[in-house]
Amino acid sequence: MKNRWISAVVAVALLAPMVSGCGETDKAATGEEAATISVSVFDRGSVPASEGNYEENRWTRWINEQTGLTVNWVPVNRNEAQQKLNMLIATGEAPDLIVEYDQTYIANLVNQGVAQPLDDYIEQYSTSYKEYLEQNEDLKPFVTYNGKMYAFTNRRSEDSIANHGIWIRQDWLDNLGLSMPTTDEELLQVARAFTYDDPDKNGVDDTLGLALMQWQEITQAMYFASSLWYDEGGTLVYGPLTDRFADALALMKTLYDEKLIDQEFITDKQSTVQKQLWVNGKAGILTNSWTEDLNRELMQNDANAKPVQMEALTTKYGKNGLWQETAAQRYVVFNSKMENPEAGVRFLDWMIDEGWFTLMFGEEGVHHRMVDGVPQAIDAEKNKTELSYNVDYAVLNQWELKPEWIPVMASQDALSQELALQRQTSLETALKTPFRRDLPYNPPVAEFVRITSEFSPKRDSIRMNVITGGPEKTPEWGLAELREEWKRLGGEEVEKQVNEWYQANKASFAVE
Amino acid sequence: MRSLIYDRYLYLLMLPILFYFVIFKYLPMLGLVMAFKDFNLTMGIIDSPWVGLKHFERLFSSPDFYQILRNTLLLNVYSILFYFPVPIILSLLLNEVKNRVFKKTVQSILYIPYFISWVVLGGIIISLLSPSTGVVNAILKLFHIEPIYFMKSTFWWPVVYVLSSIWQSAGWGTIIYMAAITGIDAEQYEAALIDGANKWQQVWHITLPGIRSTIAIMLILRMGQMLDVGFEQVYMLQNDAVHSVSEVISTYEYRIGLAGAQYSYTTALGLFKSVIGLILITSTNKVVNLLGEDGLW
Amino acid sequence: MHIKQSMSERVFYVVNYLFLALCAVVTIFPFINILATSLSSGRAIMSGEVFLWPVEWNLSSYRTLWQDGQMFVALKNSVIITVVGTAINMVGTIMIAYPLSKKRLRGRSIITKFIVFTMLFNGGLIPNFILVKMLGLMNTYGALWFPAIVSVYNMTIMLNFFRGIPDSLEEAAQIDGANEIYILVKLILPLSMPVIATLTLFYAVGWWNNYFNVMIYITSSDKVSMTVKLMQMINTISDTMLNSGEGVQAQEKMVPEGIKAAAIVVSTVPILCVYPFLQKYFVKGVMIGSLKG
Repeated sequence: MKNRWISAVVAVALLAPMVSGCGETDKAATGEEAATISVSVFDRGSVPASEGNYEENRWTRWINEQTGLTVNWVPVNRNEAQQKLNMLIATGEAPDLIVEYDQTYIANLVNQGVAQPLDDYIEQYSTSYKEYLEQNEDLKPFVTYNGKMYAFTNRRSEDSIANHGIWIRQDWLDNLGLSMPTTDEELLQVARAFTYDDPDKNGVDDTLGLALMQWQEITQAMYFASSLWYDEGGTLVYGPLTDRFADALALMKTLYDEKLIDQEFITDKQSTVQKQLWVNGKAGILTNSWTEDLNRELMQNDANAKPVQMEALTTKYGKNGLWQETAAQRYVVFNSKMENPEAGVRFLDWMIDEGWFTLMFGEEGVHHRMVDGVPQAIDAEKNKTELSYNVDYAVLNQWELKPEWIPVMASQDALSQELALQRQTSLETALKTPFRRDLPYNPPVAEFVRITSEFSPKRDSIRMNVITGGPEKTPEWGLAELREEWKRLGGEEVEKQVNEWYQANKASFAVE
Repeated sequence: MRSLIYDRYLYLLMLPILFYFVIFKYLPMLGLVMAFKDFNLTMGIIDSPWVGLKHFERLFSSPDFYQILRNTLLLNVYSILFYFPVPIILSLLLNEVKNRVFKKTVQSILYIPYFISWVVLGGIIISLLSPSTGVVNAILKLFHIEPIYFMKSTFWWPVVYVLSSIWQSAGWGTIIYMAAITGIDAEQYEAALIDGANKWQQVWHITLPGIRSTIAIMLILRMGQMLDVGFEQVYMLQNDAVHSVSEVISTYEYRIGLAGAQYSYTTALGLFKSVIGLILITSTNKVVNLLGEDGLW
Repeated sequence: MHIKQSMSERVFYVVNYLFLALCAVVTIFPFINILATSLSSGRAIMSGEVFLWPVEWNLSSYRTLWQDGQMFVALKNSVIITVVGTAINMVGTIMIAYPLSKKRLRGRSIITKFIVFTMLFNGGLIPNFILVKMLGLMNTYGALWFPAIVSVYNMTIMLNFFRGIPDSLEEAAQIDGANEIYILVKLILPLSMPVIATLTLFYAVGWWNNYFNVMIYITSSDKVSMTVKLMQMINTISDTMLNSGEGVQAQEKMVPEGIKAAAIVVSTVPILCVYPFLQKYFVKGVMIGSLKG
């Protein structure tokens, strides 16, 4: 009896603070005392022991000095960042400023009332960020929910907008006297030649057309059928349910049926075989990313190899770039429980204005020197210690890397310069064709979020069925199956809700 | 009352631990009410609105839930039938090894895969089973058997799943039975030897009865996990061709997790798992009791 | 005493040795493969040339891991977390398992049910986090240790072992006037070395591999364990990152397979060494007979 009593009392005592979420009481900016704000920072475990830790190191001290604020950094482990932030929010311990890359997560915070609207604060307190936003109107839709701005953001640098890439062996094309493919049809022809016409001239039939990594996203993008919502005549349609998705399936099916790709690519979960095919010069085309690390190993294995990135291919639907990220890079929201929004704005103003540059590249004359307006590292070893962890503190930045800067920023030895030049060309190629994206973010409709966790395994297994299922499993059959599954999972209702949301919010996405 | 005083030291010994269970296990269980609410991060557990059985309805009305549940149960049934006895047999075999050095070495090696992540083991399994370059199919070829694409086959995939579990953790599983075997009174073996019992009879009449209660306990505990399938293992072994047999509760939870914080829904799912686990543990314990073993209680 | 082995027994022994040796070969294979990978060049690994022996030998993967001073700190933290955690666990588990192993104890059945219930039902992440915060344990190892004093699974195993110890031993001691605590420490525990060794191993492995809780509860990077540290180093691209749009940047930091393999070696070898050390306790059980006489 007594025990039950005690536990009841303890239970109540412990539960009480859960009710309110018990906010911490920061000292407001009173008089002389420096205003305090807390900001989340990704802990990637890269602060060297000699530099301190994520809460306290040369850069946190520098920030406090420069801003006149006391900034408390709240480290969240990168690998479990959202979990950790959620826990902090649930206990009322969340930092005033929450930083994330993931827009879905930000949308979630807005939905849950964790983030607060910022229009008034920006209007009232901001100068630098306000100005930045005026110059970058196109960023607004990415942070606008129900007509209000809920996050600070900044423009993504070009090198992180580009994403995937398709690489081809120029030397193999030359060997066979072929020209660079420009359409999906020509891609197939080249793949056939690479498979059957001994492109490496070694007299053995040991080559394949393609090695496949990230092929799902790449083929979907080629046919404008990514897992995004497309505006088709004013109505939103989900990419994998469009007719175009069947064309993406058809391309893969042909590649598989004609044995132009590894017949076991389905089970090559970690792409081990695909990597080997490319690195060992057994495949002439590689679908993967624009920054292709594997090319180094390929060139080590075969000094004559000349991998180049292909430009976007034309299909019957036109020419679409491969997946590109949105222009907004990182999001910073204000916790609705924060005490001193003014200090928060002051901090971000300073950041976007001047703070970011030093936080990313260190101090001039110490860590970098300016060459043609571009920072170049002075001592790579020193920077490894002092600059390996600082970028996560630059929560907003104006860094916009131009492809032509890559060689300037790279080490000046011959090999690094050669690689840097390749990288420059590759980035230019990757960005040449725009990627169609009709919405700034996927509709924050709860039903859609729910259905994706059930629909995506179906999509994947139907796709696999079509590709490897022989003549009966046509792409049209696959598309019909997909639509059926979608319907069975309640997709019609989702479409309805998504389109209602679209009609209500469409206007706020338009850039004036 | 008399026994309470008589055993007062035993109760005193237990008390701090019981207190621990109340504070660290029962108290947080109050959070399970989330399953009946729409948990909102800012409102907290108590203020979030009640929604009754909404999340359970979503769970049970989800068209794929029954397939996922069936897969989970099937993989576990296979695992109990084919994996569960392996550590027992292995430890009986190990127990017959007289050479101490050999025994220790083999034991220490057998449990190594348990420490290696499924990312690595999965990669190795896939390459061993490849129809074109894998060792297994090369051996089949010697017997003029057509190459089999094990990983892509919905028939073979569960077989691979169980065999890979054995490979990864049977050695680890022997540790507990080895401990139980060492607990058996050596006098019994001496007596049996004098009676002229052969090896088989000794195993059957002494060793097995000696570890019977351990086997019973392990079985009961195992039954409580009938709805758990190690996520990493399935995730690393599965591929798009075998979703129909490999989608299980843990992979489903993973997908829900990717879609963002649906704490109430995952709590409801967890509660469902707990209830099933409780039913299975209780009934298995009952059966074990009827068979004359102590069981858990 | 030695009785001549029959023919069939001799055949059995030979087959048994061969079979177990085969099992050992099969189970050590992945480890050798990882070891070889960790000592090979990136090019050789990518080209699929590494199998059981390193190709283009080098130690650069290990050097990368140990480069900044943090790995030593993390190793030390891991040892502290594991040793103290395991000690707490063993004391806690014995304290509850021993009384519950006594059939005469009143309320035994209901208490056991009360405890087993917690193995199946738990409040989940958020309530646990709230509790840890309330108790002021954030960013201390207490946040790891205290919510996990007793594993019900392991307690059950120990309970079962204690039940196997004949009551006659205890009764004899009681006649001599010893109380329960004395009997437990002086009589029961020395007899229970096999199960103590087993559970020490189980708990220690659990602590060593503890990953999620360290990430959630320990915020200072100089307090994290080696597992977390290694995961941070090798997991630069996680699914969350790929989904979040950070992926492209992360991809450039793709970690070479050799370093991943070295990380696995570094994190498993210390814990692999525990078992051979504990093995000697797996033969002590024979004492029961001698004590009884």
